[in-house]
Amino acid sequence: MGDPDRQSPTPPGRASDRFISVRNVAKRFGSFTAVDGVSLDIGKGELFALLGSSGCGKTTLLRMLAGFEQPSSGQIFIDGEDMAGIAPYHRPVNMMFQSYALFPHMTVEKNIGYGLKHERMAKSERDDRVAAMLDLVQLRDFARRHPHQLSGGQRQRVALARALAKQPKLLLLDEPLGALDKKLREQTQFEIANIQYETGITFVVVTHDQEEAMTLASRIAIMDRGAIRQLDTPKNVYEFPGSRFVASFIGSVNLFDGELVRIDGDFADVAVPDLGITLRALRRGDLRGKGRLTCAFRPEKVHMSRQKPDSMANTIQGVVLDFGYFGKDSLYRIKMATQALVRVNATNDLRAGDDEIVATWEDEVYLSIDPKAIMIFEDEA
Amino acid sequence: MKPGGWFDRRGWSDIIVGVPYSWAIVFILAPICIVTALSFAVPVLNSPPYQFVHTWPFVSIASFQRLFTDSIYIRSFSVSLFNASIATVLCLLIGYPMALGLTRVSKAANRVLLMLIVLPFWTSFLLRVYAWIGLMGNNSWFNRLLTVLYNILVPQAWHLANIQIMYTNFAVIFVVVYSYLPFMILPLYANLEKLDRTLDEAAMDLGSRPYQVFLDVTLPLSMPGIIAGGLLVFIPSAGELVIPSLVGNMSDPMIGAIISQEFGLNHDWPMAAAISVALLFVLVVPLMAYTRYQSRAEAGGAP
Repeated sequence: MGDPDRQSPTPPGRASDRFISVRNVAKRFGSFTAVDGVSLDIGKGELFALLGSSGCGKTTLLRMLAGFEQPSSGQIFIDGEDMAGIAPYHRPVNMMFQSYALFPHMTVEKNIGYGLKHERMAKSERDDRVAAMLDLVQLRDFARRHPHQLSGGQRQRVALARALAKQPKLLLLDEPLGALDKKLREQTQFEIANIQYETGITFVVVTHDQEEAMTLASRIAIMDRGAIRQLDTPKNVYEFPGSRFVASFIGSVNLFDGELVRIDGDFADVAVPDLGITLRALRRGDLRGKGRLTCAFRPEKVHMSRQKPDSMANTIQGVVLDFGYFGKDSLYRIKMATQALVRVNATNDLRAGDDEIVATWEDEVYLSIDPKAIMIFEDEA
Repeated sequence: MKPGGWFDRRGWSDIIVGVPYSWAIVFILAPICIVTALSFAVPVLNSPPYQFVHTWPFVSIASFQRLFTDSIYIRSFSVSLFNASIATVLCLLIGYPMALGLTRVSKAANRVLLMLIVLPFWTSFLLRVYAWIGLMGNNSWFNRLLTVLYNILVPQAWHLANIQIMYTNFAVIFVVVYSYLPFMILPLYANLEKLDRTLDEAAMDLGSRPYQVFLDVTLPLSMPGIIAGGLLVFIPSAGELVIPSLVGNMSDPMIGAIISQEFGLNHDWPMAAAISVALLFVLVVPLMAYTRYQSRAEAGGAP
């Protein structure tokens, strides 16, 4: 997938490490196929994200890595060891649960030390490890508290410390930020990334939140209906989605049906009846012949102005239908002469009064799109 | 009534709170006070067969003195507590796996099994005890089967013609366990069913084998259910009257039979009342321990 002509930067965790290797794994529950032949490799020390909407199979895949479910077919290797038939309590894997699953009858200290309880380990060593974990998540003063005496963010950190205490080879995080409010989320995202960097443990994060996946992970696998649709760095997934599905799943996008008119060197001209013009787009390496296509461009890649731009390709005229003001930016909906709607994101980079904003209702505006910003996909089902 | 009056402001909440309070006062507190007062009277050959002392301090502690000096009371108290304790432990040992099993089976099976546990209540309690009398008797097929099995297992010298089950303490404990088992299973099941199964997975994920998960997580978190079930079995079985009088050894009676005897046969109401008050104290102690545990657990973290 992706653009073969494009030089892709090497992600921080190199897939060639194959520290964790999922080989053609499928999981069926009766007649329902939750995971359908997934293969992927995760490098040592990588922060990897499985992203998808609910029911896409990401949690089932995570549970197979943890050992709570056995694959119906396929193999999972962790550090070269086949995990088939190995019970969760024998795997070098720990998990941070979505609900945190802290033991309500144990103190923070006991919770964090629980994983070490059944290990042969001197008491002093165990205490040291718990103390180190408490420091790592900055909960030293809360060691004697019970989970119900903690805030949501503190509980989340106890759960993380507990899962890290055994120094697993692989740490699984199931929607790690799902239960936190927006402010705390942002802060915790960086905390998790820092802790991952400090400990050097391989993290696999499952999430339905693309922002979470983008900021945390070095690579993202986008899952849909039990299969991986694209696996790449956050930047490539966003800027170079391999399919219409991925383009519309990650971020927002304007999608239009079109037909390939001609190929002109590095560019392709696509007639888009809904916009009433022929769009010039950067040609995809595998694009050949004529046929129906989908043209896509992201709202923030559209340049909007009230004056007609000098000589830009892909310029369309429209009228502002409505817009939403979000503070740092505004989202406009522009109605074309053909009645089609285009979404445009404009940054409010000036501290502006009403008369200074880019455009307002009923304004006539010109939209121009850089050919390099236009993505084209051959139609799929 | 004018708006803003008592009824509009807090009438309903007062009434709703007041009903259970009135019930408790009329049917629980008042009888306890009457019985306690009775226990400080003296028996007379009259109707009613008791009298309060007319001189200072207006109370007689003769009944309580007898309670601690006459060995029959102490003996029957200890028999009662012994039987109730053994029965409670047995109910727990049998009921816990059953309650745990109920939480692990499919929804359909769960409904059927719960039904089977409650089903015996639909037949008369006495009928069920009589059924056991029939089974335990020396000439029943059940007793003969047990005897044959016993004789196979032990050397010739110990062989028996039949096993004496009826009119023993064993029979009492056996029938008490049978009768009170649902009272252990149901609160335990209600407790275990609420437990978050993710906690089991978390413990397993952190390296605990299934039996360690049980000891570390399930068992401590089911403590409230164990205590509730234990009290529901222990308290009524300690004061049990019907079962020991039907299948028990009458020369070694439980406290319920003694109270009944003092009230009925001996017409010694103050003595009967004194035993009842003493029994109340013995049973209230574990109840208070339970409330203490509950409030501590609420402050400490267990749900």
